[in-house]
Amino acid sequence: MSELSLHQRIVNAAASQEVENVKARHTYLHGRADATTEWDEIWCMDKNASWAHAFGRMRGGDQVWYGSVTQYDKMCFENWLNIFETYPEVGGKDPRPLMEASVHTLVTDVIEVARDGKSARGSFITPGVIHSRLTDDGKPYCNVLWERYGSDFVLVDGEWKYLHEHVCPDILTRMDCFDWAHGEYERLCDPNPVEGPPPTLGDPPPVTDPGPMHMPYSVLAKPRNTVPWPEPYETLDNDNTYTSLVD
Amino acid sequence: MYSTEQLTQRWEDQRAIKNLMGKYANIVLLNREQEAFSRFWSENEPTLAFNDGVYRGAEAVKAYYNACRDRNALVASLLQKRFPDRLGGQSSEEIYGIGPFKVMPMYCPIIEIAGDGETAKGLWYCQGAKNDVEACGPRARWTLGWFAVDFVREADGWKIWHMQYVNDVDGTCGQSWGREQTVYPDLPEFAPLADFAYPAYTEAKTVRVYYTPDRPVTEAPAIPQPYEHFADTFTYAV
Amino acid sequence: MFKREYTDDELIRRVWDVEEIKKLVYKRGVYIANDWRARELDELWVREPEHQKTASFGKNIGWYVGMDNIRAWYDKKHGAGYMAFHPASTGLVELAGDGKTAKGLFYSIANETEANGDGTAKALWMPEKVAFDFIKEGGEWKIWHLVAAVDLVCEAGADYSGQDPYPNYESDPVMLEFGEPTVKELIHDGTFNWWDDYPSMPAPYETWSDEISYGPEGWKPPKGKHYGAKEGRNYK
Repeated sequence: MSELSLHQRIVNAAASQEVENVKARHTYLHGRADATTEWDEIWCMDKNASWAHAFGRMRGGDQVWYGSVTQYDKMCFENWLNIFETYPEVGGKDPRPLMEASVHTLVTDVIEVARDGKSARGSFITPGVIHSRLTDDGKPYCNVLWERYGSDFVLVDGEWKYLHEHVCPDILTRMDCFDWAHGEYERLCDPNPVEGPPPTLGDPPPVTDPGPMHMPYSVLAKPRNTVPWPEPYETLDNDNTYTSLVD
Repeated sequence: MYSTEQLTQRWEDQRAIKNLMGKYANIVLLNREQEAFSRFWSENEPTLAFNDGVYRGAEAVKAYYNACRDRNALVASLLQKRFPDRLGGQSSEEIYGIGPFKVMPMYCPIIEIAGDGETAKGLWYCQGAKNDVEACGPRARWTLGWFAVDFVREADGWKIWHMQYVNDVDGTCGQSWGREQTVYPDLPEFAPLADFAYPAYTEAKTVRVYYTPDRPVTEAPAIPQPYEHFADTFTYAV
Repeated sequence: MFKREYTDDELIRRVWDVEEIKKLVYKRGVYIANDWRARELDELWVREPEHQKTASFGKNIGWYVGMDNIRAWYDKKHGAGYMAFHPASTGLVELAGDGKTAKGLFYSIANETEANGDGTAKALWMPEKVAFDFIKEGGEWKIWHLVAAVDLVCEAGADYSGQDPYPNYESDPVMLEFGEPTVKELIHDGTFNWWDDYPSMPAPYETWSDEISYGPEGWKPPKGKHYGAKEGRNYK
C-alpha cells in the first residue's frame, strides 16, 4: 500500500469519527421510526445502496426505500389504527414513533477508512432494546435484540453517507425474563416441540438477494461470521465491501 | 504539546486499539479463542487475570485459550451425541463451534497512549451475554464487568500485554442478580462438562469479588491516566 | 449553515476534542460505578462560576439548575449492596464550529442495584437516552448540562409486560430518587416512546446559543402535545 500524506491521514481520522456519527444518527432516527429522514438524509440512495437482514438483501434505492420506508410506515400506521380507540391520546401525534422505540446501541466498533479516503467500513455489535407502551393488547413490551452490523459508507459531495447495511440478528427475547438458551434446549428436547420463533418479525419486504443471509443464535448452530470485521484497505471494491458492487 | 503529526499518530494508535479489542470480542464470539494469543497478544511476559486468579507468561496464557478450544470441542461432541438426528454423521472438525455463543460488547473505551508511544492502557465496560453449555445444559448468562488492558507496541502493531477480564455479575438471564438464583440440576448428557477444568492458574487469588447484596461498593479497575513512560504509571498486571 | 474549512492542525485537534469529550462521558460511567458522585461534580462538571450558575441536570420530570441545587440532590454515598452501571454507547457528538462548546447524545442500557436490607437486593434495568452540553474551561472539557431521559424501569428477572402501560412518575423509583427538581416539567413521557423526541439529536452548529441548550432554557414542548397520557376521552 502507498504511504499516505499527513493531510490524508488527518482527513481519514476525521472521516472515521464522521461515520460514527452517521451510524449513531441511524440509531436515533430508527428509534423514532423516522425512516423518511434516515433514508432521505444519511443514505446514498443510488443503485449500489443495499440493506440486508436475515430475510435477504434489498438492492438499489427504490427497493431499499420501499422495504425500509414504505413498508415500515405501513406497520406504524396500522399500529396507530389498532390503538387509537383504546388510547385516544395518540390523536394528532406522529404515528411512527408510537409504534415502538427500536434502539440498536453501537459498541465494539471496528472501523477502517479506505486509504483513498472515499469510503469507510465498520463492524459493530449492537445490544439493543425494543420497547413500546400503548399496544393493541394493552400490555407494554420490551424486547432484547442483540445484533451485529456490517456497514459501508461513502463520501458524497463532501458528506459521509451510508451505502450498505447488513443486519445480523443474533438474540431476540423478552427483557430479562427468560433464559433463552435453556428455553431452546427444552424445546429441542420436547418430543412434540413447538416451532421456534422466526429470526425476524413481520413479513419480509421484496428483496433482490433472497435469504437466509444470517441465522440467529441457536444451541445447535455455530456462530455465523456473516459480517467479518473490516481489514485495512485501499478502495471500496468487491474484496472490501458488505455487498457486491454493481457497475 | 503534541505536533500535528504526533496527534495524528496518537489518534491512529487509539483507533487501532479500539479495533483490536473489537476483533478480540469477535474472535471469542466465533469460538476461535485458540487464535487469540497468536493474533492479539504479546509474548513478552503477558498476564491474563479473571476474578479468581491469574495466568502469567506466554505458555500459561496460550494454554488457557487452547483449553477454551478443547471445551468448545467437548460441548459440540456432547450436543452431537444428544442430537444424533441433527448433528450425526459430521466430523469433529465439522461440528466444532456448535453450542457456545459468547458476546462481549465493549463499551466506554477510556484509552491512554503513553507519551513515548510504546505502550497504552485501556478500560472498557462489558455488558455481555454468555450463552454456553454447562453441566446443567445450555444456559444464558448476563456478564456485567470490565476489561482493563495494558498494550505494547510491537513490530507488527499493538498487542495485548496485561489483561484483566473481571465481572461483577455472572448470572442466569431471566433471574435477578439481587436474589438467590435457581440452580438447574446437572444433566447426565452433559456430565463430562462438570469434570472439565481449565489449566490451573499460575496464582489463584481473588482479583475481584462478585456482587452480592452485602458487598461493599466496589470500584472498577483504575481509570487510565495520561503518562509518559510505562514505568510512570500503574499496571493492570496481576 | 456556514461550513468552516479547517487547516490540518485545526482538524486533528478537533478530532481529539471529540475523543476527549467521549472519554469524559465514559469516565462519568466509571465514576457512577465507583459511587464517586461528589468527585463527578467536582472533577467532571463545570467549575467557572458563570457556568455553575446555569449548569443543569435533568430527568423525565424536570431539571435541577445551578451546581448548588444539583449537588444538594446528587451528592450522596450509597452503602453496601449498591452497584450501578450507566454505560454510554452510540455516541453522537457535535463540536461547535468555534470549538468552544459541544453537544452529545448517548444511549445507555443502564442498571442499578440496591440492597433491600433482608439479604436480597433490587436490581433494576433503566434504559435511557442521555444528552450533554459540554464547554471548554481552561483547555479541559466539562459537563455543563445533562439530561437522562429514562425510557422504562423494570426489575431484573421480572416480566416487564406485567406493568401498567402508563408510567407512574410519582412512584417510579428512579424519579423518586430524583426528588423535587428546580424546574418541574414532564420533558420525556415514556408513554409515547420517543414521540416527544427529547432529548433530540444534536445538529451541527457554529456557536452556542441558549436555544439549543439541553437545559430548561432550550426545551420546547413537542408539537401536537394536546393530550397527555390518559387524556382525550371526553369526546364520548
